[in-house]
Amino acid sequence: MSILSLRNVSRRFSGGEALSGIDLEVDRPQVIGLVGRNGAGKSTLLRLLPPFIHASSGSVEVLGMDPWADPIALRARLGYVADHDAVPAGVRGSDLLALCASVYPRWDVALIQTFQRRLGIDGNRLFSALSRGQQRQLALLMAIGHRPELLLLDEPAGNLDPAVRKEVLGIIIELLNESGTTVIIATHLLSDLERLAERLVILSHGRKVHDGSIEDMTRQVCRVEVAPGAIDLGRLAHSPLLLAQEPHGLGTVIILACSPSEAGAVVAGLAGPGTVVLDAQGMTFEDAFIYRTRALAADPVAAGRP
Amino acid sequence: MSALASGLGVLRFQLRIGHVQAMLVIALAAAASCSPALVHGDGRDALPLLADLVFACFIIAAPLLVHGAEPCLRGLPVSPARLRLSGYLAMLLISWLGMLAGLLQIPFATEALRGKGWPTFESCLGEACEAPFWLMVMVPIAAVLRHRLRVLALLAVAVAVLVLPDQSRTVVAVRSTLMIPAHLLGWDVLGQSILLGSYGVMIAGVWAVLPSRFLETGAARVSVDRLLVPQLGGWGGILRQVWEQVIARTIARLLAPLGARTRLVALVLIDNTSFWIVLAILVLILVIGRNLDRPTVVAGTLVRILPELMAAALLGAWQVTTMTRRLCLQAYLSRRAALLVAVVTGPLLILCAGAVLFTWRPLVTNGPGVESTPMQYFSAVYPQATSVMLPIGAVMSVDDYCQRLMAHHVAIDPAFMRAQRLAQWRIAAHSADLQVPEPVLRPNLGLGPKPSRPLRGSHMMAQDPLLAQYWERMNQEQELRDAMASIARELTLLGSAAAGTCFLLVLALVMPGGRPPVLAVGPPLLPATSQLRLLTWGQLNGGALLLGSLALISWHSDPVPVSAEQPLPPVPVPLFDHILIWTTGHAVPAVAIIALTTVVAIAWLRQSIRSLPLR
Repeated sequence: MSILSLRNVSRRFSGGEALSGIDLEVDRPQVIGLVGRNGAGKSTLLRLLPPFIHASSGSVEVLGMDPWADPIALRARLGYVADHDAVPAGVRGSDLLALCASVYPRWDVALIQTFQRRLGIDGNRLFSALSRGQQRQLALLMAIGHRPELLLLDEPAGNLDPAVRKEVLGIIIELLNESGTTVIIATHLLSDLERLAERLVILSHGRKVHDGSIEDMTRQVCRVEVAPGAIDLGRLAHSPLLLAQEPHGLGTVIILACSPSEAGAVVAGLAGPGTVVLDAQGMTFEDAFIYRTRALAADPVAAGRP
Repeated sequence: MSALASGLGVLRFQLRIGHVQAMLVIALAAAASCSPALVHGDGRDALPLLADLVFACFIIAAPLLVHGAEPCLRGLPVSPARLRLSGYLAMLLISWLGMLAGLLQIPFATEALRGKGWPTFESCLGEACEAPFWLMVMVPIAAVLRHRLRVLALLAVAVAVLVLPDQSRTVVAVRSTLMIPAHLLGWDVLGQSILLGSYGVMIAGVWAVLPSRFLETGAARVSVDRLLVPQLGGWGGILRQVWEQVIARTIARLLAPLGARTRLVALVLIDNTSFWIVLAILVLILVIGRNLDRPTVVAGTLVRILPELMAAALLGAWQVTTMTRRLCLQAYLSRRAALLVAVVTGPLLILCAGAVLFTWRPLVTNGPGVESTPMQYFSAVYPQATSVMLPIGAVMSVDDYCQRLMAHHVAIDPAFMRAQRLAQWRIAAHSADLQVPEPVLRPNLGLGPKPSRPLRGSHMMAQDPLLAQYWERMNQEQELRDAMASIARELTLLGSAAAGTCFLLVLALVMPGGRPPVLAVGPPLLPATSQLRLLTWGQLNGGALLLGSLALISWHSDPVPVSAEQPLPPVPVPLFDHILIWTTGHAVPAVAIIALTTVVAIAWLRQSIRSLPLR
């Protein structure tokens, strides 16, 4: 059974198209990082699954079922952490957990109590009196207490300090190990994904522009330093492989969408065989992501290309 | 896990988080609504007041209870329909328990009280059951419908009540209809849906009261204040709105015994987004309005509520003043310059409006050669008008006010009652012809620390018993004055005093015969605690919208055929008890609206008033 299957999914709002032609298949438990700049469509994609919104076109299948066929039954198998907490004043943590215990058929009280103790969350305190980090932790506990088959996290660690983030991620990893849960994390914190995600989906302007491992993405971006005057930047500027260029000392640094080993050949092909490549290096995941998405933002048409 | 267990869990959560204060308000309101002690005796006038209070409480508290849990349940396997249903069940349960508590007092009534008209169980129950009954009818339908269908259902109900045969039930239905669906629409879309629903309700309500059947029978007093849109906000929000309701009703009751038509001008919750929705609905009504069976009645009625409309417009002018000041400040003018500009602009606009009102002749024609101004027409329409009431402190002396209160035995609230007793005492003292000279020995004429009030004249009392009595009376009188001044201040705050004062003073000055209509002006529902609210120039939207919408409806009505054989039917009751003003709009649409509606209104005035008879 497919855990998640999106085929040519689009979602339009009055302000424009938030998602366009998204295909995504998940057939085994894994952690998927969903990244993109603000407004890329990450939250919209996640909101299609519980489901909160309808897809404008395409087909969505979650845990082997049409989400809108029986959303209540589906939500009993899902966990969802929204990017913001909307809890009325006067609610205690224990109230929220008790609510979850009453509505989830497979609520694991022992699991929650264990995590609660470990994280030091006082259920008797008002939700509003908890620190921001503890509020997010509580939201996460509410989403995992029934050991969901699919866990959707929309910025689960936003605005949290590194220590709290580490704890949150620890819980996710533990849950993965115990239950084999598939996790989709939409986040801007790439360092978290590096630790956790084995698959990376990049969205740009509502389109999927990358679907693969983090290594794949990182490997396909390199930093090339060329000798001064050795390259015709004007000619290179028209190449889809050029992500960025910036002066560096007397020479120039160009960021190319290729591996370091291919850099020499690519530059030679673009600028001529006499071009001197001083250095070609791989990049960190974060830098590679930044250059990639920046180039896509500058050229939305390119967002559609693979 | 069974659905029952799940439902109970959700219900428990709703009760837990569903705002204990909301439940308390519901229970107390329900208990009060059928408590014989509260509706007994002189307070019989309080019965509708309490009924209104109950409505207000339901209006305010119910959504908290029903929808308050929704944000927490997002993503959980809980059906929204079940959620709302359980919330309403909880609310009904609480309200019925509250009512039961109120009814339990009945068996303990003394014989004396029974002889004085202690309400029966049935009468209390009948009064109290109105809201829950209609809730029970409406809730299951609305709770399971999707948002858009709910809007349609709401409109369908509004139309349906128009054809119900039973007049009183129709009124009840209208009241309930006005109230309930707005809740059921929920604020799952950040409150926009409830706004939409409210406007639908409002328009439906206006539509419901306009047709001739209501005007002909004169039995309907449809309060549009049911449209008060609930706001989230815990204790503060609830209490504020309940308080506002009470204040509004109190003012109405205050004025009613004075032989006046009580009209609290107006209107309408608006925000920038929903404004266009309202406009669309108005256009729809215009289309329908062309087919009104009695357009003449509509036009006549509109003329009769013209004072309110103009008051709304003038209120808008006042808002322009404050808006101007704010804009000037934003434009980095100095405070003094901004104030100067505003002070010039506002009165200028008011004067312009006044000029249109009072100098444009002829507007009213009653046969060849007979002309009069709108004000003359007003004086004919308001034959019982005697005095200007609001703001009390500005227009009417405290003494007059107290005497009127006392004369009409208006049971208001403890503060008023106390003031009334004091006034009685004072009148008695005067009637005894107590010749006491004005105090010449004023203690501490600005020299040294001012003594506290109870000690005023105390050093004289020991010397002269008569003087001691005098000082005692003076102190009590001072207390009375303080109490009344306090009330006047509150009312002034509530009533957007400047607009009201300007309008009423102008009326008093130019009114032929010097008998301006009794008129309570301004949005009484502005929170008493927030003066800043008075500066919400978006109120311009509200007043102008009301003015414009009514004018537009009339614009599309046929001119009134006037002849001696076919006079206009009388309008025996106020068309609106309350229409609330509460807007949060912005300057540009506000100015655009008022400009548009002013043009339309003037044109409409020319068209419709010209053919009305002058009684």
